[in-house]
Amino acid sequence: MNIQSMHLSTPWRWGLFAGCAAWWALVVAPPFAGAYGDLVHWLLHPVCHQIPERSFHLLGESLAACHRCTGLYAGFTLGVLVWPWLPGFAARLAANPRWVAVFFVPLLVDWTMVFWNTPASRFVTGVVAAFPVALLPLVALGERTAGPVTTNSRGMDSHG
Amino acid sequence: MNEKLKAALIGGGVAGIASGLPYIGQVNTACCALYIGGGILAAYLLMKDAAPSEKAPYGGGAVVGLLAGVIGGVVATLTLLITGGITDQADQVLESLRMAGGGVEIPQGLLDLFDTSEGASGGLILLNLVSGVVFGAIASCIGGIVGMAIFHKKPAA
Repeated sequence: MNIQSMHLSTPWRWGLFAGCAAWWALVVAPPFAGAYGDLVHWLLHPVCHQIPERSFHLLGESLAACHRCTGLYAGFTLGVLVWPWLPGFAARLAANPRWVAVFFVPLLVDWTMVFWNTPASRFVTGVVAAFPVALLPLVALGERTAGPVTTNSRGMDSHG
Repeated sequence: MNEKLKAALIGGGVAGIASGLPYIGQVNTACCALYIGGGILAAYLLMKDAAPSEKAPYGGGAVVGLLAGVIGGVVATLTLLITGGITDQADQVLESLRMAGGGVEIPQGLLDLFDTSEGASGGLILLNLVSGVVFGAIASCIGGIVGMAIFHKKPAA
């Protein structure tokens, strides 16, 4: 896949970013939700173990996601924002999408070291794993965007 | 039957049943791993007999994953109803709402929602269904797209 054929900076990207922002709002809500904090934790309990010792704390309250999940959400959100600015790397990864799986290796290694890993290692390996994944929905959304596409000097797409 | 629907039914069904089972369902606490797996399975089923193509059909993967997640959320809620897991942690939420201090007035309807003394309320079942469908759809959609990246076949050069 060449750079010119990729439409990563579509208006849909902002919809995806809005979804990520809404998810983040839910994750960081418990410290600000007062009596309803446990309700927010309960809402997200199907998607994360939320063990307080393995979660970031804000204002003395644990967030509604563990270090690793927070890292995964951070990596994905960062990817949605940053991928259109890395057109060369994006084109190479999109041409060999199976490489996305390779970025999960550090996370899996860290996961197996359950008694030795640290909050930083859990968070960073989560970011590393999810950052490339964000490229795939961006490519999918780009494919669904109609209209002629031009690529400017930064590799950013504009639709006319 | 439509190939996409067939793949979504199998992927979502497997993910939903696994998500509703005791112990196995806890795998979902690793970032919805079962739902992501359901999306990947649906993408695999869709791609296994597909002809090679230059571009991976990520859009198709997103749709089949989304469908698998919606089906998985419904199946998981039904399985939870059968296994009794729907009331998990509801007591803890009810307790913390009852203990709320600082002049916070908790609506009686919310307290009733989490009161499982006479079994799960209709509202709690509905809340489980909605959260299962929404979280399942998001996770399986990503799984479907990742599945397309893994199982897409390129034409021989």
